[in-house]
Amino acid sequence: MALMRRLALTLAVLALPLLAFQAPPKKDTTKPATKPAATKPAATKGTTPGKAAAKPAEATAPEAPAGPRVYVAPFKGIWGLDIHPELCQKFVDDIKFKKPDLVVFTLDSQDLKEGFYTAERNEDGTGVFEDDSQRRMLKLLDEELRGTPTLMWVQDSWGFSTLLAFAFEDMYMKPGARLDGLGRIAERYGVEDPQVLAKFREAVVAIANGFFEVGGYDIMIGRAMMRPELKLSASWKGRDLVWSQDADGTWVVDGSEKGFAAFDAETAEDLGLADGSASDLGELMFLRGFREFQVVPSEQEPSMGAGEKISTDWTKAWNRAFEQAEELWQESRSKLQLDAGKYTDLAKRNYEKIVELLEKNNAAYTKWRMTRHPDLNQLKDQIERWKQEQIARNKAKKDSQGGSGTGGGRGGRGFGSPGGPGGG
Amino acid sequence: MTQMTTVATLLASLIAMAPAQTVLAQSTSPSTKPPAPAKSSAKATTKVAAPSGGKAADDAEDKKQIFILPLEGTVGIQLRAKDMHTIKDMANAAGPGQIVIIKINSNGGLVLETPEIQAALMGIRDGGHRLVAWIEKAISGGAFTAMYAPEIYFMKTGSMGSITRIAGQGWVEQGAQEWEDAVARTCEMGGRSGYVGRAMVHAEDLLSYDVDPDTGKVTFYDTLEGEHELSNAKENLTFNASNALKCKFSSGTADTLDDLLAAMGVPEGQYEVSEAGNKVFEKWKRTCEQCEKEVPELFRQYQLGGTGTGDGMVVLGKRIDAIKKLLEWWKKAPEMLRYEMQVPEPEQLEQQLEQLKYQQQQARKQRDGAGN
Repeated sequence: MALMRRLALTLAVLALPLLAFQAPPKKDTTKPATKPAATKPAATKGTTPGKAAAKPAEATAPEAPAGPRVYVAPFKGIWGLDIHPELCQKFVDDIKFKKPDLVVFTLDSQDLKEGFYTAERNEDGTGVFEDDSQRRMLKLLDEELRGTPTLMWVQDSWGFSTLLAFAFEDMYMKPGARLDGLGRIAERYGVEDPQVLAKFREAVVAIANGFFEVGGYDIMIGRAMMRPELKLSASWKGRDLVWSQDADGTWVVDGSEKGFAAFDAETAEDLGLADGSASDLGELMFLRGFREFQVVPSEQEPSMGAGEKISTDWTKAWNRAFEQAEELWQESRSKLQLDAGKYTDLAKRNYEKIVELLEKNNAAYTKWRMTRHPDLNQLKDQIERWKQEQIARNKAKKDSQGGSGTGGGRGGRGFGSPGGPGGG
Repeated sequence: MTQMTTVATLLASLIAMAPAQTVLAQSTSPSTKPPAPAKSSAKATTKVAAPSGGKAADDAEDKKQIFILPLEGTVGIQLRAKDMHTIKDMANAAGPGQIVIIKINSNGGLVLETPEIQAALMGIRDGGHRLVAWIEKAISGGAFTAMYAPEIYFMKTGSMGSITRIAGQGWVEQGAQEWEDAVARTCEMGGRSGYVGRAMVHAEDLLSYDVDPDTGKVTFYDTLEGEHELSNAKENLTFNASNALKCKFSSGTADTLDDLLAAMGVPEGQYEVSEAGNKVFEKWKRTCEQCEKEVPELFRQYQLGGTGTGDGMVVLGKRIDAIKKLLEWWKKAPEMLRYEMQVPEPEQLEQQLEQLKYQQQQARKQRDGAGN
């Protein structure tokens, strides 16, 4: 196929098997230029709720002591696996049914667990970038939840997941949280030819920058976070913050030509990307002007929030499917190594179960492919081979029994004879 | 065993076929099929675009139509000029003044499809219809396709550009200038500066622009002399919604159809949204999905079907059946089989089929002879 495509002059199908998005639409204005001035006077910089105390006191409605019904929807874990369009669909369906006053999406996803000098890849796995499916996720959040107030509260984000944070106009951070790791986008354009590099790079960066557009953030920020050679700085012009793709601004975010721009909670807040920092949900609600609120509970487990229950169940379900498939795979391998002839039937049954599990669970299959297993077609090929071997064994057995026991049959007609199917 | 060996050899030879040269030479055939009858367009129209109220609502027969054709996937495979021709004929049948919106989500594809795309889209314009491109993702061939539309709207997540011609992961240097010229011309056909198209093709082509503070008129430069830089010597232009809008390359930003129609200034009550385009798209999408599912099964059947029986006749029967079904797929989805599924050309399959039938015939004779 690669050869065929190579020879057929391609206009340029981007080799972007894993990329693209679309997200919840918000305001049309670019966020950095307008938002900081409107929501964050210099006096509010910082993370303590006390700095915003005037707002909650003013906003608390005495006639509504119970406060708003808040639906907390956690996006937690590996981007593309735990954080998946199917989970998003479940959230959206539940939110539309429960009709909360406010939806708080949380984001907690790290491909890199520690700081720079002790950086370690997340041993549970790293994010997968599939642009079309992840853009569908954003469309869901946007179009299906239009009219429902939503916000993003970033617990920590390092990797492709950071794109999701920037798809929300109303973003809050947890103290110490990161908006980082978009350098992973560079994995998608690592080719030598400078023309092709430019083509792939600009395409993938623009596709990813779609998230920034949805949130209303300047795409210069996204570029600097995805292209190491680009710098980023910001300057105040009056009450507006103006971004520039150089290090000439008054606030230099990234003055290097070799590193990717990133933000910690404090910087994100100071530069108006985030509306504030909150250590817990109570503090977040306080920042939003609510002293009291109710988390929409799960019907099955009232001690849990509805969104938390959905998220936990989703992660458990796909992991269970993957683990079952992996166990079946390992059992097949070990048994076949022990005695291929004896355990073929077991292996075939296991493979059939694996196919069934993976066809039903996209996230499990994605991890399956990431962990270097044969794909579904290869599994099906092997199943068919074993099936034919089984048919052959059964036939041989039957023939053998027939020949010795009854002398019947048709004299071996139809198989095994060198001259062709006529045999005998 | 000899027969099995023969079959295995035939299989190997079958799989070894699929010469790329032949594929190239015949690649234009998919787009030459006649379009669907225009008659179907009226029936497919079921949904009224927006509540119009009053007299206009009663004049449904007088309403113009809005055809929305989703164009997704690889240009020349899932995204086909053939479907554009179909919509063109439907629009023509409804008379001049219809609106055709092509909603693009593509990473690009085959250059081979471009002449037919041009014929279809310019045919829509020549028919007196309003052609609009709505961009979800228009990379490479997807961008080239959108260029024909005089009006381009972006979704917020939209991206458009990167039209450098490549093969695999290498730049196609031969004919590079001609390609750039062709993209520039296409850009101009859409009423835009050719400099924009050139900057999408080769990194060294620069692009900047100025906006006249009084008139708002945008002037593009193939240098960096403009106030606003869009592409320097190391970059390949790919727009997002915001920078496309600022330089007026885009006519507006809209995420939903309602938003789009509002941005387009479509007057309420005078148009109705046809479902025909979506039906054309869904039908082909289903075919492609079915093809992706069934063709590997047919290969499996060809390779392994009946082998466990040890009966050469059964094996031959399975393989003949598989080839016949593959030939049926060639009629239904030639683009998929040629470029996506690596299936040998139909002529080769026909030859193979004849050989297998001959073998089957000989085997029958042999068997019947032995039986007698």
